[in-house]
Amino acid sequence: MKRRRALWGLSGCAGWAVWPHLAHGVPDELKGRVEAWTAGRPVVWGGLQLELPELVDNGNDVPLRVSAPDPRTPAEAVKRMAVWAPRNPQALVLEATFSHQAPRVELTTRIRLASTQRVVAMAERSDGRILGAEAAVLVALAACIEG
Amino acid sequence: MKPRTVVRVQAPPVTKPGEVLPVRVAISHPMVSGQQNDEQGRRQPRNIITRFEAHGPDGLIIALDLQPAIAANPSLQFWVRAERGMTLRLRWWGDLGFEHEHLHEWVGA
Repeated sequence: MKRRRALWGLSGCAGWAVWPHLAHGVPDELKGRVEAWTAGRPVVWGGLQLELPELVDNGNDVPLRVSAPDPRTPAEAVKRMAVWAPRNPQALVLEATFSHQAPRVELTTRIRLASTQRVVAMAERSDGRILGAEAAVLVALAACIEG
Repeated sequence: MKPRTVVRVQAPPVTKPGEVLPVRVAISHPMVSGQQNDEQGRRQPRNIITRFEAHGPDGLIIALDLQPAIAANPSLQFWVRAERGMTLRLRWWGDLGFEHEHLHEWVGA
C-alpha cells in the first residue's frame, strides 16, 4: 500500500512537470455550453474568484468556493452563476441563483472531479455583464471510477 | 428501509441586527452519480439531490441546481443577513421523489 501511495505521489509530480500553464479562457470542449449560458456575451476574466486546491489525492471530495466582490451598485450584483468541470462525464457541476436578499455572493461546497482538469465558473450580473474564473486541479485518484 | 435524513446547520450567533453571517448546511444523502457500479457490477441508477433553496422571512435568498458532480452528503456554505430569532427555511428536492425541509432558528449571542 505504501508503494502504491508513493507511485501516486510520483505520478502527481510527473503531472506537474507537464502541466500546461495556459492563459485564461474556456476549454474547447466547454465552449458551446458556456456560450449558451452567456448568450455569447464577452467574458470579463478576473471579476470572479474560484478557489480549488491545486492538487487533490481524492477526486470524490474536492472543496470549491466561488465568490464575487461585494457590489457597489445594484447593477453590479451577481444574480446567477454556474460551474463546469469539462472532463467530468457531465460537465455542469452546479448552477446558483442569488436573490437580492443574498448579502454576499459566495458559495462553498464539495465536488467530484473525474480527472485532472480546469474548472470554470461564470457569473452574470444584473447589468448583464459576465464574469469568469478558472482554476486548474491536479487529481491523483479520480472520482467516478468503478466501485 | 429508507435511511433517516440528517441535516446539520452551523451558523455563528447573531451579535447585532442585520449582521451578515455565513451558514453551513449539510444533509445526509448518497448522491449516487449514475456512473458507479455496485458489488455485482450492476450500474447504480442516478439518485442525487437536484435542487436546494434557502428562504428567509422575506423570501428566497439562494437557490441551487445540483448535478452528479456534487460530493456525497452535500454541504453548502452561503451568507445570510441574520436577525436574532430569524427562521431560515431550508428545502431540498431530488431523484426518486426525495424531498426534505429543515427549519433553523437563528440564536443570538
